[in-house]
Amino acid sequence: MEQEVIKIIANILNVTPDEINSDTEIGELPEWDSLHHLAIIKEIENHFTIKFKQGDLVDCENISELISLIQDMK
Amino acid sequence: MQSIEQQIWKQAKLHPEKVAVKCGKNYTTYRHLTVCIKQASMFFRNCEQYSNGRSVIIAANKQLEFLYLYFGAHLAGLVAVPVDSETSPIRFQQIASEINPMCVIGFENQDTTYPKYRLQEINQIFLNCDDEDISDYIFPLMDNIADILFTTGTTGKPKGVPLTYKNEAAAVRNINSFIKNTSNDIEVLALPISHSFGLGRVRCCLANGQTIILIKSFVNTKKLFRTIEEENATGFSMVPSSWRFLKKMTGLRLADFSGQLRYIEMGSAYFSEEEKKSLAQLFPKTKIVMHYGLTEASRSSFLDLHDTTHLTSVGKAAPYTDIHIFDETGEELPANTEGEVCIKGEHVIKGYLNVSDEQLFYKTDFFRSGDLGFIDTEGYLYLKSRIKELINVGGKKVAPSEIENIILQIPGIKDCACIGIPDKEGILGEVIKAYIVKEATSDISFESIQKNIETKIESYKRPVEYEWINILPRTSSGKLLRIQLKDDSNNR
Repeated sequence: MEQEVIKIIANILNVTPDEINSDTEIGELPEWDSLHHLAIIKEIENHFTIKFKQGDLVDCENISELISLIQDMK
Repeated sequence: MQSIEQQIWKQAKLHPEKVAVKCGKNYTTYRHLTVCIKQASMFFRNCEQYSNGRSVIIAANKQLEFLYLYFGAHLAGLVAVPVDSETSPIRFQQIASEINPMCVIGFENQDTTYPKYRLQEINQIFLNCDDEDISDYIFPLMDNIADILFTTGTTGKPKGVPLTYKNEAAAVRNINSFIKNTSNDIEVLALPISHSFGLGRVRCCLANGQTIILIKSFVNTKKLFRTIEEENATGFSMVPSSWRFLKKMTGLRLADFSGQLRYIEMGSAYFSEEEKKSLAQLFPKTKIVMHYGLTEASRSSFLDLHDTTHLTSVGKAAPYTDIHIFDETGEELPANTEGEVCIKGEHVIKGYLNVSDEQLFYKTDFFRSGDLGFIDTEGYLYLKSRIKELINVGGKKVAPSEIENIILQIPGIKDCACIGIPDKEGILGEVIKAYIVKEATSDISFESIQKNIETKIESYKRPVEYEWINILPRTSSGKLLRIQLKDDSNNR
């Protein structure tokens, strides 16, 4: 799952996957603004067929926490 | 009135060891800030290309070094041009050719013939800034140009807005006297500092002797809230789309700090009466100030969101500011009569860079904002529409012609028009829709158009909706009637 999430993020931010790892903080890369973040969330929802509720993402500070959240929702 | 730099020096003498700016694990005190600014000023003066009055493009990243270089450029007699480090190569080239900078800092990836410096190599000069001397400096003259900020012109070409030291100091005086923030306030800033609003907040805090904490963006909400909590922040700023983003991601979590935040400044973009009411209810004791302004006339009016009977207005003229309404012949109009909003004050620019053929002022010094509206008998300003057809995507202005010109370069496309439509996600206010007329023989798809423009324009400027159309509505003289497309789109 980690690689799938990284691939989605890299695609949307238009960077190479090796620029991202599980410790990368949300918003760390200069390209990662709120517009891109919304696109990432939407793509993750589509890809994993999940739906984040308002407030679900408040405790995600980095990619590994985002992955844990997705795993909990699957 | 004193320049922001003079005010920073004054604060450094008052409380040298107070933290001025925090950024991640790094921080600078007021004393250290002045010393680093002096170092940066020396760096510029020692540059081979240096001469007084030239400009320098600096990547406006949220780093302490940016602030040292920005203020240091001023002390060296240079014009600072802060530019978003993620700006597109086309826009970067347009800006550079307008100002012919003596050098460019922090744009390693931009292809340019101007001398370039990487931030990492300049950082060395700030390593041993332990000088304790906060003695006065020869500060620039108030009527000199301090910065040139680039906005979106109606043609899509960046338009240079030269701001003098007096413009910037006057804006700070107007804002701080309305918000009444004190030197004890600690502000968290998540807005970009390449734009007038965010950079203006930095000036307001430093001139006031406050501590300002720079956060990369609103995206990392956990970090944002933790910082507000741990730093015991009392000030915050956002634009309507940031508030909608925070609500979508975190619900009403920001309201947990309603007892802590003394003030919130909101930037100018459409914010409905309901949204204003609900924000005011969530923060009953916080001064929530929404401004109306332009880069050319920063924060010209203020609305206190607890002024519940005037929430459809953009408030009254800011302190030390006059706002009058004029007709198209330059005649002043009475109360409740719609016309162009024109602004007078020491914070207003004298003119644009390299533009001399536009009538920018009525009655000598009332700047024409390009917005239509009226003022009621109590002095509240109500905006109706814009004369200029700019699209406001989450607070960022986009000229439709810029996008159209890029799409029109794609083979197989005959005509194109872009308009702003409401964002279905309810966050950005407006997003872009493109109407496309294709050549009869073309088999071009929306996907291939999207792919084609991906590398040419910033992501917020890319259309999110496309529609084929046989013919675009135009006047008999050929002028595109975007307003008609917009009306049709709204009526569906």
